[in-house]
Amino acid sequence: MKIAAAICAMLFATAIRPGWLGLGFSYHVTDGRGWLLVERIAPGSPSEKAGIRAQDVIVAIDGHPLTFKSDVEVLDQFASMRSGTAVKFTLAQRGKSHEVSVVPAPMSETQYAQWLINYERARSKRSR
Amino acid sequence: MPVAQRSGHLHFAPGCETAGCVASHAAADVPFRIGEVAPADLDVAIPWTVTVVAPQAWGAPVELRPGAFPSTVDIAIYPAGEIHGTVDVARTEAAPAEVTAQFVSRDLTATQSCAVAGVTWSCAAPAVTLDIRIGAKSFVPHYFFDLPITSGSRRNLGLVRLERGASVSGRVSVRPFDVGDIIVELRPSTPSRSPHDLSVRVRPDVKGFFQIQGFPLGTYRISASKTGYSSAQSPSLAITEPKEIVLDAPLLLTPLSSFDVSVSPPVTAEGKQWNVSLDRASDPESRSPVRRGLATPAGFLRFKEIEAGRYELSLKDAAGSIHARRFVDVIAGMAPLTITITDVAVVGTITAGDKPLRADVTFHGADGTTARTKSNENGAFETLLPHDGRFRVDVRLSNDQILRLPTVDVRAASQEGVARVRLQLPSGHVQGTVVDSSGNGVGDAVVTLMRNGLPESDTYAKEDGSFSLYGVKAGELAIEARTHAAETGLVPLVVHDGESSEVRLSLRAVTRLAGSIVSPAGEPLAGAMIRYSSPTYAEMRHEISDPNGRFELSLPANSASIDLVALSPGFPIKITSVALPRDSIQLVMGKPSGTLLVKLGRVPPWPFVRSSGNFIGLRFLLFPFSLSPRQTTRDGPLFELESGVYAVCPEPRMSALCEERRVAPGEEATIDASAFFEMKR
Repeated sequence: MKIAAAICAMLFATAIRPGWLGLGFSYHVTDGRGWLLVERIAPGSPSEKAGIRAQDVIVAIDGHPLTFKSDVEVLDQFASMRSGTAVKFTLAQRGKSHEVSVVPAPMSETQYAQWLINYERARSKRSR
Repeated sequence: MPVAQRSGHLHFAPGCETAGCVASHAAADVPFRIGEVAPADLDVAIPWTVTVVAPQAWGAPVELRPGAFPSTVDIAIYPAGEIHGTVDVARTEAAPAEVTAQFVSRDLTATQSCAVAGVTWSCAAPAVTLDIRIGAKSFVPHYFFDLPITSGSRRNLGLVRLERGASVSGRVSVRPFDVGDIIVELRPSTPSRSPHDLSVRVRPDVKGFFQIQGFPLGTYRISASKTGYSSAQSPSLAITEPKEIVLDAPLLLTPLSSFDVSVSPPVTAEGKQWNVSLDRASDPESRSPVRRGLATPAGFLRFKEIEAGRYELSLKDAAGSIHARRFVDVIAGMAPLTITITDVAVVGTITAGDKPLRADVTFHGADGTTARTKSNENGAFETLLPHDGRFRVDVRLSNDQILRLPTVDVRAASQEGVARVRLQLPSGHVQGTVVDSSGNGVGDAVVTLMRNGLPESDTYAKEDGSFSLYGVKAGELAIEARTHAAETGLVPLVVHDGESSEVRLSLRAVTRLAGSIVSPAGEPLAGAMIRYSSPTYAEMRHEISDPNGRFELSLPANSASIDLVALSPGFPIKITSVALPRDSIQLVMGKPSGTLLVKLGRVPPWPFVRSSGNFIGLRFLLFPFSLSPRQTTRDGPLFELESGVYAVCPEPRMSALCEERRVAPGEEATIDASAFFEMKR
């Protein structure tokens, strides 16, 4: 399943301000296992500083495998990440995995407004 | 009382028989009796441990570190008892060589090692009432509270079952102190999608102490809750190894609060009551508004029994437009909150070229406020915006088409007090029919309009397969239709302003080709983009390799061959062609090679490139999502390619104009394609 990937794509059901990771992604499922493809990294963002790059593959968040059932569940997960609280992403490559810790930064008013817009769009988008 | 000495002097607890107490420097094994002067040649450059060695006396060991020698060493001497017990470990485990006993009383905190012989351990202990923690490395500790130890006694603590794993311990605090219905819960810091409940719940003891064990390593938060009180939370705890985490601060439970909201004007412009919602601004566990309510016709609402903390309060009208949104810090006894709404009346139209559109229009303010409205058959709409300024606008047409418009500036004209907004979409239009192989219309197919490889707009085909897309900006596009089991592939399309482009999209059954992509060493490459096209169709699609380096291509039926471009960061771009049919495909990325710089004029149009197979649009050699810095130069894109001969041509048919270069390891080849399209301009 695909999610609209924008640099500040943090989408959530209600008006709760998440931390800013500067990460855009799409969610995929292979053999029942979910994974995220990093599609966008905002320059100077916490994700970039942590070493995450476009086309990286995330297979776990805070040690937990990804088993989302819908786009909105993915978005809810990211929207629950708070400024200042580190999040560990497990990246998979070349048959191995390693963890990177990303500390979301506070989200500016502009970013937050865009975040709300993106969420509305994702919620109104019909699932396919 | 012994005199102060270089090595310290000793204070005595009541009851200590001074003649029986001995302090020793364990490192040098130089005992001295209490009251005696220590050896003058005490070496202060090495660490010392001062212990009490005497029958029926106990003193907490004191560590003396080089560079931090105190002028006095104070050791409180207590009458001694003994604690002992047995350890039980899993059958596959060996009993630890020692356990650690931590003693805590009103006046004492000390830690000492207790030797384990077989499965039995024992330790001297001060003859006072103690809280005792028995632990061993990588095992969950055990706690014993309010144990009276008497002088000369042997207290059996029984069987201590040692289990490996992490644990968290701490205390709760509440006033008045009543731990009655307090629940302490450990939960993953970020909501887990595991089918198993990873939460652990315990109740604190009568003193408010709690210990949680039996959870996997991870990142967690501890929360304490009690009816009628705000819950308390710990910071996020990263538990990365099997050891005990002790919370520094107690989890403090405070009584719930209430606060009042007053809105002016008291009702909406339609005369309806305001909807007020309260959402947690700081709780990562929250998933739905904490509270919702209707303000009274007088514009008043009281929120009762709210947990202290920061919230976001939203004010909505009956249509769901958000007129105000602000943060509220809820504390006990807070003053009422007054919200004043100053809406701006907006009158507008929405058209695609000159054609009025019936649509759902949503304005999004930078502060998170929104306003929703509908336009009529004349494209006219009215609404109230919470303020003037710049707004993003989303439009949903009756054909389910969603368009995102550029920011609009809303300003009320000073005289009439109304802001006039004109939303003008591009005037291009695309319409057509999605059909199956028999020519029958196929309903509910997803029809996507693409521009420069990115989706621009989409809609669904109606039951008869017909579809329509409005507000399309003029230019060269591509369009495709897909159902679950069939697709059309990308069909090129040219749209002109004010004109309607007609297209018939024929669905073809999809066949699948499994593949894998690996490094030269055979390691699976995750996140690689595999672009592929068929020479019989003007289309380029892509798949992404999964964490195991696997991917699956969807091929239109009757494909004889496909051309592939594999893009994996850290490897040269791979261009290859494969004949079909075949069972599977494996792409082995090459080792670092040379580069090809292609100087370009204005793009589009993009030239084509060919290696060993068919022509591929040069733009498909660009890394997806974000252009690699290495790929962009002032003259044009720079491509890291596998060794070989590459031809860049204006069009596949114009082979006489192709420029060929050899890419060799460690070398940079250059092709000047900037004049390719001069004749066309």
